[in-house]
Amino acid sequence: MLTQERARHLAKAIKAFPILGSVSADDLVRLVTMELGHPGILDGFQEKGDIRTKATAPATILHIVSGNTAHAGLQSLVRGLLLGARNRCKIPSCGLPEIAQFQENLPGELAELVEIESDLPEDWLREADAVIVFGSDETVRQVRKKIRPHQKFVPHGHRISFGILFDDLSAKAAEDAARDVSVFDQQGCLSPHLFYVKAPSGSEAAAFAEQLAEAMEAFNRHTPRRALTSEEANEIMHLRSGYRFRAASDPSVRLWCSEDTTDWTVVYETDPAFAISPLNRFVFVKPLPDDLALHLRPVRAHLSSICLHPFSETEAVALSLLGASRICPLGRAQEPSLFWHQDGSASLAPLVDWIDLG
Amino acid sequence: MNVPAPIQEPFDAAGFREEYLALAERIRVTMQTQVRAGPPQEDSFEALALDIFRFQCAHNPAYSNFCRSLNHGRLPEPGTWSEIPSVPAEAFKLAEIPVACFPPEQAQACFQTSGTTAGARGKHYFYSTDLYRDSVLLGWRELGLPELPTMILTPSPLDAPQSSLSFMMGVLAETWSPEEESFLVNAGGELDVAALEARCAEGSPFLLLGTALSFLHLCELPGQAPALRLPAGSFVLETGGYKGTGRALEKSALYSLMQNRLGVDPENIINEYGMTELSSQFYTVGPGKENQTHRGPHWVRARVRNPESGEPAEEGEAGFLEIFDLANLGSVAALSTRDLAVRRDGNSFELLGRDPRATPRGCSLSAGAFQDAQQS
Repeated sequence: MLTQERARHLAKAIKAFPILGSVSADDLVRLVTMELGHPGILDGFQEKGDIRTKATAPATILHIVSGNTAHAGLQSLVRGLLLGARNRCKIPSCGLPEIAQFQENLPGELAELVEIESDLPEDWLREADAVIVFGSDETVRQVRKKIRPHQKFVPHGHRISFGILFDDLSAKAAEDAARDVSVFDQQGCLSPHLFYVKAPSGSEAAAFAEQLAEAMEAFNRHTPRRALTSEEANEIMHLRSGYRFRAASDPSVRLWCSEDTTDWTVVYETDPAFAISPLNRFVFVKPLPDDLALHLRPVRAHLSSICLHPFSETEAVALSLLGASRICPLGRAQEPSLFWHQDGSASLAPLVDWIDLG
Repeated sequence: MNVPAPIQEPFDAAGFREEYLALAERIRVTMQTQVRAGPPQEDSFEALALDIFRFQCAHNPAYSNFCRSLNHGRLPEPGTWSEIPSVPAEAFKLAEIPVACFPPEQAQACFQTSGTTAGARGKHYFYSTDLYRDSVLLGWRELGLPELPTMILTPSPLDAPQSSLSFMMGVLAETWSPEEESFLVNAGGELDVAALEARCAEGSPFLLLGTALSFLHLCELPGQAPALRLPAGSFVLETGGYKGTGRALEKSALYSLMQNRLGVDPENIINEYGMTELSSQFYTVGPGKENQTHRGPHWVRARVRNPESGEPAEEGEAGFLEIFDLANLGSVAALSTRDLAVRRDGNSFELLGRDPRATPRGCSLSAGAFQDAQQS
């Protein structure tokens, strides 16, 4: 099957998955062109400088996919299929039904290129020509140890995202912020942990935190968070309790949270230090400090996205030196484009090999 | 949903000392009387707990502000100890809001939680360490723990004045080994192996105390001689985990290591559960199985709360552990911990290991994972 045809089938299958956004067959072919230089480069030799060259996909790609982030797993599978590789997907033991649902939407010839297991068969790792892993740094470390020299390895470890809001602290902005935090219960690397807010005064920044709390509550009413393990709930309970203690004696700290549950938590504090969430819809709001880069230093190596509001290219370019690999509009954190560079890397190019003629 | 505006109050120094001493005396009498007299009387625990709560609210502004914030701005009036609000251990890390009923500069001692690269150290100020001392010793006696000469794998309280563990072990050493130098680790962290070997060679049983990590290091000493086998009848007390060291060992594995390398009978291994933020300890004795019950003396209570709702858990149900310690007079008697446990009867609980389902599910970095990464 040629690239164009694979792209057509994939675009059709993608339609059933709104989280992947609107993707046409042309978009997929454009991705091939953009990353590999020619729309037919996987199908035959094409001119490049004074040689002719062809990209060859890895025969087998192993995708080790983490839980609760169907988006990343599906995008990875789409890329593998677009290249024409055989794709073995190791899904988490807690399940990721979207991968099998996607497979069902493919025509036989492409569906046959997909295998899914929740326990990693020993030979899968050995037989893979390329291994893509999504998960914690520890998961990445464990897999990396088993990678052999000839295997291509694409790790996507722990990442952190946050937001920056300039002045327009509207209810709509709070709603967008709540969506970015709440979708996937903050399990994904694109989920913001913290919003830095530039406001004329601290009380306006705190007022935004209160608006965000209302929006978190509203989101939770229509899309409840999944149930937590005791340990996850305990982390939230304990951190909340610590902030409640502080808030009682320190007016620079305020806390809003769901009643009688751990469903969502918003903490406002004036301390500009980057705060990392215990996840599961726990978010911080802080006034934007002048020396933001300094406060990002401890997490710089882990930065993924900055959700910017209002989004403008000028502002986004100004923020592009902070270490994040993506600056996106607030409310769109969880919908990266098909063309995005995940963790700052190309998505198809690192997977292929080249054969040159001449 | 929203926490009420904070209420700032200055320290109320008036009458503090007299009230503190009077309550401390009542607590001490209760500890001693009931150690001698047998089963504890719940009503006297209750009466003391409520009086301590009122005292702590009157003199500890951070605590009374916190209690008010939980009760729509009014100070709660608990009818029983179990309604007394607990303070998260995390609060002891707030330098600007000391969890104390007196100005920190009046403290006789300040114990600190162990330092980590990420985050502040918790500080527990003691107006007097007398109650702490009584609690260690009377608790030890009440729970029928072995009264043997001690050898200790930590620095002495003189070398580590901020360590509550060194202080606690020092109390046992003063009592059971008044004539001997029990502390085997110097201020530089070096272990005097020769002194331990010499003590083993004497042949009479003793009690060897240390952190789980110090025992792991002891068991891993290269070329360990048979001289390091503890005499028959000796006991070992281990405490604490490996957090921040990059090491991890199942308790059962540590216990077999101790059995093999030190020759200690697993029935003679004591695990202590203590916290810098408390003044009393809980113990469990015997093989290093998971799910063992830790028991405390009669002046402490354990309670467990559902981590999702914060409501009290039933006996046998899992949740986060809160401890009520009458001996914690100068700070707060009610403390909530990060530990998950199952409540057993009044002053005992069963600690739960890490929930295997709690491994990170996605690629988002959580606060806990970040801290672990910084420490490893």
